Amino acid sequence: MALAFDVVGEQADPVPVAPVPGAAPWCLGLVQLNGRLVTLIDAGRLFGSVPTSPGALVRLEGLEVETALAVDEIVGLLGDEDLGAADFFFDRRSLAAHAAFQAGAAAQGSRTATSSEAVT
Amino acid sequence: MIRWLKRHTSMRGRLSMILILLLVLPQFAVGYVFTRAMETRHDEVRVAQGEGAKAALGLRLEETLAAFSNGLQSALTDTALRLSRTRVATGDALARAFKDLPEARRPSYLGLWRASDGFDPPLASSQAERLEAWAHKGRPFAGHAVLPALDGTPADELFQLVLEPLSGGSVAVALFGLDNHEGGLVEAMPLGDPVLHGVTARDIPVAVVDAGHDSIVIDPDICATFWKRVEHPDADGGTEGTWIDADTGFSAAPLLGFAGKPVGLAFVQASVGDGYADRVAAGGTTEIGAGEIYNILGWIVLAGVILAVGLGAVAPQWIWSDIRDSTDRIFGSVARLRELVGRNGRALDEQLTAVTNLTSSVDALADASTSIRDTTQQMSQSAEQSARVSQSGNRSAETAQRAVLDVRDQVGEISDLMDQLGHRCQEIDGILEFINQISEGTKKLSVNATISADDPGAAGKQLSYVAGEIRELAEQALDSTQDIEQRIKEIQRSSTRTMAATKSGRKEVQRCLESFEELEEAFARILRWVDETTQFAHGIDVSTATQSKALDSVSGSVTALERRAAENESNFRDIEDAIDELASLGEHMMETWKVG
Repeated sequence: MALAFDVVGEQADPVPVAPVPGAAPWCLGLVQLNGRLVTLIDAGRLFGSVPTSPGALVRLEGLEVETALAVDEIVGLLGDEDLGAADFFFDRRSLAAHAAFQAGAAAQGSRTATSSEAVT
Repeated sequence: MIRWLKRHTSMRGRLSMILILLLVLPQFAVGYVFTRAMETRHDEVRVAQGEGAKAALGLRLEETLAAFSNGLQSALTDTALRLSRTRVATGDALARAFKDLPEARRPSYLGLWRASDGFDPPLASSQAERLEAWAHKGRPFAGHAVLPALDGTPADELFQLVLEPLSGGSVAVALFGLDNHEGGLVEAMPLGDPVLHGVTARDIPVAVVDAGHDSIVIDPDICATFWKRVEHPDADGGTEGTWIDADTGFSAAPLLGFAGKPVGLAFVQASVGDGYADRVAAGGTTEIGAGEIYNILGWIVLAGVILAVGLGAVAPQWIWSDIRDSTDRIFGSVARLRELVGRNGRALDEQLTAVTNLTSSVDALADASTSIRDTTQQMSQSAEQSARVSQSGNRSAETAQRAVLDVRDQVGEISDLMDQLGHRCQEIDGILEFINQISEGTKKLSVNATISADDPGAAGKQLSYVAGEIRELAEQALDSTQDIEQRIKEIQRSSTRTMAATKSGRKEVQRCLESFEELEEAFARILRWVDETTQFAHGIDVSTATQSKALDSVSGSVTALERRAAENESNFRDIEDAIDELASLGEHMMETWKVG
């Protein structure tokens, strides 16, 4: 999975997660990154079928809600010529269009997930 | 003459005179014939002596003459019958007395001679007293004990030789009565030597011949001082020697024993007075010193025959009967003697066989002893070589053990070093982890810096450049750290394998040390065994040497036993000859007295 620089705010090590009852399955809970309260989304569960073993957190910027992705690890930086090697590529526009990053999407649970699967 | 008789005698007187003549004339005729026979025998003796055959004449002639002399002397006082009875009774008494003696005290030889004419010069009273004193010290003074016919004879008239058996197969010889010498006990000499000679404790020379020897041998080296050898021609025209006493003229001649016992020595007084040696040396007509006695005895014989014939005319029946009985007893004795001699001969053969077997056994034992001794010496040499080899091996084992101990110490040091290396590697692991964390953090920082430098301004470009350099360094640091970590892991794996090998090596070294200790103990045991073997070999060697000495002694004894057995065999042959002689004498008596 590759993310464009325009949507990446920063990377951070995993921190304690405060689960949110009744949230969607891909929503792990709330975390605090650099003084900000951010919704943590499981990238594996949201874009695939295997839950993520969080090795790093990527805070996203420019979206409707403050969110961060929990990924297995950050492999590195890719050039434009290397983007073809990634299974998924997201930039700010494609992520903003994703239902999971809409306001209130995490609280709608399975309905949002169905939409997410349709986007994927 | 007849007329004178008719005129002066009566018919009864003439008849008596005729009867007397008829009785006396045959007696004179018989006496004349016997006298001629004696003269003929005496002439034979004289001829034999004249030919220098005195040694061949020897004992038997003396015994025969003595028997006749004694018998005829008895006939003077009694009758010829009493003479025969006395001789038989004397023989029986001798045999009984000999049997009654304890085995250990039975004399090998008993001899007693009468110096009938006395010694010249006679024994001194002190010598006679010593002889009497010696005779009563409980020793088997055989003459008085077993020759009753001579009992009562004064000691100074005895010429005595006693061979007394001692324990250990020796005889002691006591010689008394030699003129000018004192009597004494001869040194003990081995029994059975063919010729024994020695010197008495008081320098009296003696010579002893064993049974079966017809001549006496006197060692001239010993006896030359007292005895002189006189050469004279023998019957075959050769030369024969006779030993005589230089002073007294005593000559030596062998005598037979009695009761089946061996013969000893007799020094008989053959001649008394000066000139005997010269007569013997001149040869020819040397006359026995007692020849005059024999002449007188001849006349005595004539008178005895006359008296015997007279008595025979009066009482012939019981005389002839007794003579027959006596001769029968003589023949009976001869038969018993033959049987005894035959039995002893068979026992002697068995003894010879046993001695031969014993000789073979002793020789085999001697060979075996020599073989054992050689083997023992070889074993001792092998033991010494084994000891040297074992000591060398023990030293080599000790050297190898020290080397293994050094190896053990070095392996221990290696093991310690490997442990330290393991600890260092773990510490490096921790450092690498720390570096890794720093690199990861640097990488994240560079990523965030790169994200932050996404600003298109000049600061963003500079920050992006710096962030790229940092990221690149962080990646290189991560790569190096991973490489170091990989190498450290390889070192740890090698160290682990080395540790395992070192532990195994330590175990091997320990087992090697234990093996060396066992090897050392084995060498020590071998050395002990070698030492014990050497001691055993030495003991066997000493025992074998002792056994060899004992075997030599046994061999010497067996050789002496063989010699004694051979001599006994010769003695038995002489005894058989004596028995034949006795039988011949009995037949001669029967023929002479017309018995049967």
